[in-house]
Amino acid sequence: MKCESKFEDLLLMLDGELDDSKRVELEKHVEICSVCYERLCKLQAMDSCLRSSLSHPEIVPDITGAVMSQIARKPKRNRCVVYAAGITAVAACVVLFSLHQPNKTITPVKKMPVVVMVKEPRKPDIHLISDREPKQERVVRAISEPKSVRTAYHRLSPKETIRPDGKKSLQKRYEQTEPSTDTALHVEIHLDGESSKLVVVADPSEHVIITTLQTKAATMPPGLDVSNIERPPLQTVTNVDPAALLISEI
Amino acid sequence: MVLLSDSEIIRRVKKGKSDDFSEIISRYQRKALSLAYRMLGNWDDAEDAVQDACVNSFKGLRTFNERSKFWIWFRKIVVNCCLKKISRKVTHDNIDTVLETTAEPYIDSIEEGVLKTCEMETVRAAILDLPPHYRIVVVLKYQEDLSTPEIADALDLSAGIVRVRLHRALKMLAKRLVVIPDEV
Repeated sequence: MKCESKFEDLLLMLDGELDDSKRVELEKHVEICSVCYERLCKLQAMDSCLRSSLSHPEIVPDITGAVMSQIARKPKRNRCVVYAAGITAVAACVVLFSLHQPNKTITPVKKMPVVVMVKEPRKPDIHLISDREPKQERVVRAISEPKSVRTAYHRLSPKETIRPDGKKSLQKRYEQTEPSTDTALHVEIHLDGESSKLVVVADPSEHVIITTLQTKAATMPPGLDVSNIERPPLQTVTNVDPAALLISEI
Repeated sequence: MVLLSDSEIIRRVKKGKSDDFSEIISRYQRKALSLAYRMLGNWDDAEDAVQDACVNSFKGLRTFNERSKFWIWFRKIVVNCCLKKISRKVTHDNIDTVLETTAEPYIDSIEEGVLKTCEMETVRAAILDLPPHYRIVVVLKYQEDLSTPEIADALDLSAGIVRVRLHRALKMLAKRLVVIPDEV
């Protein structure tokens, strides 16, 4: 055993972290080696010196009040209580709502994306009309602008005009170009089991040519041709059968 | 008041009885403050660190696993708060520099010399001069009487790193506290 390597082992032995076989061996060595014996004594002295120096202070300040006032300043709701309150409120709303409309069955709303292809890059109003009594009509929100709207116009130099009050003003001018073919307007309809007609309402002053309603071929009622209808004041595009109108490819 | 166990009090606090947390503080503030005091060297910083630790532990009480001991969990928070407080004062660059310069010229002072003094204030000053990551290991070992694996757990380090830091710290202390006979 070389004494040079004993320092670490002596520390481990003092800490009680040396495994038994090594400890027994080292204890035997320390008995016969005066250098290591002296080292061990000094390490023990340092160990006890550190322990006594680092004893717990006898008097420590009391911080309970300070901490509790900090905690009280930042009241935090118990998350479980918040969740429980939220769930209770939602449940109460559901119960009240169903009590309020006892005869009405709640039918699940089916979201369905539809693409209306138009010739002109205008945005027609699209309505969903219920064919059951009482008839109800809802405007369907288009979820996108017609895609090729930017290609349909180009800007001309502004024209100077004289206003009735005599002041001059510049009038912005646009020139309509050849409309692009197949401008797609994405809409999303919400079928609630009662709606059966999808209607495209176009302003007669606007060129809205509905080319096709992109659906599965099987869902298009036979004989309904919408490709050459121009300026329809109110044009029914198709009868929508909620069961059949499962548009899969947009 | 009937003496409740830590876990019983914590359960009550979790159910919303925040005031019961004061009982937990009064049980552990002495240990926490003395640990922080040895780490930081003054009562003002120690109080700040322990107050932060108390508030943090209150906020994070949901994450406390009631099967383990509160003090072990809380001690980790105290240690982290102390290290944060130190890191605001000392940059890591400084720590690394100290590590390189003081660990390298290891002198066998402990075997060649005699313990110059065991005057407590001198020893404490020498401990406070240690780089913080060495100091915390010494404090946890000699004040808290933790074993190497327990220190490793408290500091989220491996036992090997703790052992290295402890030995280096002792060598640094030896350099300060031990006098070589030739110098006397």
